[in-house]
Amino acid sequence: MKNYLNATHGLRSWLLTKDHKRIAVMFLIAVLISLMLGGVFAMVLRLELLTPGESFLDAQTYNQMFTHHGVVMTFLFMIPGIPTVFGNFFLPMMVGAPDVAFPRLNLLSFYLLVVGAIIMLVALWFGGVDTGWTFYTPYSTSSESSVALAVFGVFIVGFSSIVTGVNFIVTVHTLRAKNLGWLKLPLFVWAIYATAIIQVLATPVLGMSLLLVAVDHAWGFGIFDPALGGDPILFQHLFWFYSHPAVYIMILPAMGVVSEIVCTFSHNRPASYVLIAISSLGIAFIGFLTWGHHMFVSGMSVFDAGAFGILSMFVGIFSAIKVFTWTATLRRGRIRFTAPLLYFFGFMFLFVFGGMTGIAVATSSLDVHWHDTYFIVAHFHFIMVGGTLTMFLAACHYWFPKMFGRMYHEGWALVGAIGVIFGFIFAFTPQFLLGNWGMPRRYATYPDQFQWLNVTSTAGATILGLGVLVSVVTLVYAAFRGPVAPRNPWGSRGYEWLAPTPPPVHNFDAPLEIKRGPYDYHQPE
Amino acid sequence: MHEREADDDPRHVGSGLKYVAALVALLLLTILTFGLHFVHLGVAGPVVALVIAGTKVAIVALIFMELRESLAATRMVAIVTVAFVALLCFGIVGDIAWR
Amino acid sequence: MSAPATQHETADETTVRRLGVQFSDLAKQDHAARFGMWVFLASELLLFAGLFALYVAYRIKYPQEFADGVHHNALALGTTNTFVLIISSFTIAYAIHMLRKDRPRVAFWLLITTIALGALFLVFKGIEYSGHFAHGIFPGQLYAFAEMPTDGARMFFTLYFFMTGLHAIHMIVGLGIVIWLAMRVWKGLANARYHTEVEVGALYWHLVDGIWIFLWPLFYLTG
Repeated sequence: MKNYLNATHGLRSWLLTKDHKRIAVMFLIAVLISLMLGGVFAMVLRLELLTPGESFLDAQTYNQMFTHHGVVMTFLFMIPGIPTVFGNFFLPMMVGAPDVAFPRLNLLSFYLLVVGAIIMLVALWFGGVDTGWTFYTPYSTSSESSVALAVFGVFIVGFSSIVTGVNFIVTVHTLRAKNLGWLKLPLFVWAIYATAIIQVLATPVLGMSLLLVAVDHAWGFGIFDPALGGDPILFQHLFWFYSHPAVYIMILPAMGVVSEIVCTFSHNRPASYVLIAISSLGIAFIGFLTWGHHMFVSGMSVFDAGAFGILSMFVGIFSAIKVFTWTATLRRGRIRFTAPLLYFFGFMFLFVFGGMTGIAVATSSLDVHWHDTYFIVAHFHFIMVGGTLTMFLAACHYWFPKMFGRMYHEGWALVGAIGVIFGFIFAFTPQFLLGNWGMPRRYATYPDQFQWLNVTSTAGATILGLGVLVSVVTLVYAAFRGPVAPRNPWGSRGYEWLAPTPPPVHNFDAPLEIKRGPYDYHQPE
Repeated sequence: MHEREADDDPRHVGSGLKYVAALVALLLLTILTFGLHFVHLGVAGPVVALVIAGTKVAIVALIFMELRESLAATRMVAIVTVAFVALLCFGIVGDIAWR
Repeated sequence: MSAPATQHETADETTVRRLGVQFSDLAKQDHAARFGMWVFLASELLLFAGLFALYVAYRIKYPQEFADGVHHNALALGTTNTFVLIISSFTIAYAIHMLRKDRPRVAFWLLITTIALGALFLVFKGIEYSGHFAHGIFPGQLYAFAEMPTDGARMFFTLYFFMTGLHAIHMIVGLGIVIWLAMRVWKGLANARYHTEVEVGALYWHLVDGIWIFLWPLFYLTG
């Protein structure tokens, strides 16, 4: 049976493809490699932190390691992750289209990611960059490491993100099937759409901030150099104007996955479609108004600190709307307990916990105590790992049969999920305590009394890493040896499940006729 | 669903007068700004110059870039973008001006 | 010199040549191309936004030095360049109008005019820059303008070089695009029936003009 996987053969047919599904699979490989790489750097850090003093890393190398970890995870996994893999594969199918609006731009986006990643990694590794992924001035502009080349690599990766964003926005606006109005779109589409808006509007500002660091570093332009009359805090403004909305690039697609999984596995339509759809746009918008909460102790004005603090709390409202709506969706549902749903339960606990600590640190007077401590590290890992990684893995499992035409082993998938969720809890809960007790982040050493919490954290991180490994191996094995999957193993009403499994090159055998909504579980099949 | 007649028959295309009118307006506004430069308006000087610049960009967008005939979605893109540029400037000014 | 060829394709031939599988008809595809360019222009505008914000911030920090810097800049050259770009926006817009009126030869020469005006802009810019270099005005740590030695003045001119330099790079890209468009019109591949690529390329050109419309008062007028 001809499908997108076997329609043509040979490496060139993949490397030069314009098929969004093949591009998605190539992104999946790139993103998984990045996840593993970032995880290796994390384990290096956690191993060093088993003892209070310096063990096998000196402080400078430790600093390089957390820079590697942050840069790789943020720019090569968290930001591209769900949009480039599942957005690429399923957005066109969910609007009933045979591909995205600009297929060649889609391929360009992939190569921009690859080229940017290579430049970035070479510069980081051989250039000894130790600034942290945040590249704060004046250290970044005066450090002797290869900062200029590294940020140039990030700049190119950023372009990949912008191109993807443009493509997705135009696709949703212009390629919807006949009779597919906005309010009949799957919620995953709303999430990807809101994410794409952020990608287009925020990423260029990051590009500019990094470009300025590069010219400061390479040619002494001194835009942020106090010795030449510059103000280093202005870098932080430009950097966080992107990097705060960036965290919503990371979480919104994950929330889109949640909506799909919750409805499918409770066999229920969402308790309120409109609330979830609109809250995605709400998060995207409010996310732009909050960047100064990363700068409470930087020396910026009291006015800005107050304004950003209050505005930062508002985003919690939209997240809460989603959490309550998802919970209500489960009610009176026909719940089937599978690995994706287990990931969802993990998400709910970890995301809510992480989100509430976000509201806590948005209080500038409290943040004075927590800023640059492990409290912050724990907060964002609860959201990024507890939120985005769990749903990335959930999406990998949920959509696996559609993408590869085979089923994975449910038992091993559950083992992996348990390892991820519980490993995570033991890895990062101690870090809230450490941060509150005053352990600073980005330090290779710490006072003796913090050791037992650090050891617990490292143990948890190891289990988390093993959980991810088990999940990935389970899926890779299934891709080659798993039993053949039916067209719609989960009984989902989503439009993508109407296509054959795996889909043909142009997604549907005949133009999609939309006769019902994507969550019409209350109606007979 | 799309902006113009599907059939771009030359007989249906309007006159090019609006482009000429836009050009004249832009040239006049440029001369005006240039002239005002020599009048000492104090603090209001930069404000006036930027307001005129904004007007000129609006003319370029609406007439030359045909935003007037474009769909609502396209106009939203333009408006939202300008709003976010203003947001970035305002957030930074709120810091620098009031430290 | 021979006139550019006009290709009298039938509607069906054009559709077959151009229509991508993901679009149901050409009108939708053309709309998507224009809309896509607008979304891309949004990202370009946000790229410059950070620089405008920096200008405002440093202007607040160094009001007198910025005013003096503006005063020193070559008002005549800057103003001439403003007229040059505005006229070039008109010529490219009118070129599209001429294509719609099925007068591709006029359109072609209007595009050539646009290119000439753009090149002229860059020439004037080059003259301006060398004038600055002759005074020892360079960006950042190379700055050596004895008449205005302050940090604020250095910051003004560094921002000037960076912002006008980035704008000039965008102009060069724009010139490449318009040259390509002129070739397409010459070969009759962009014509009365189909000229979406000219519309899309022109949008980019207008953005570059629009950014200069703001750069001009910031660096030459608000003294």
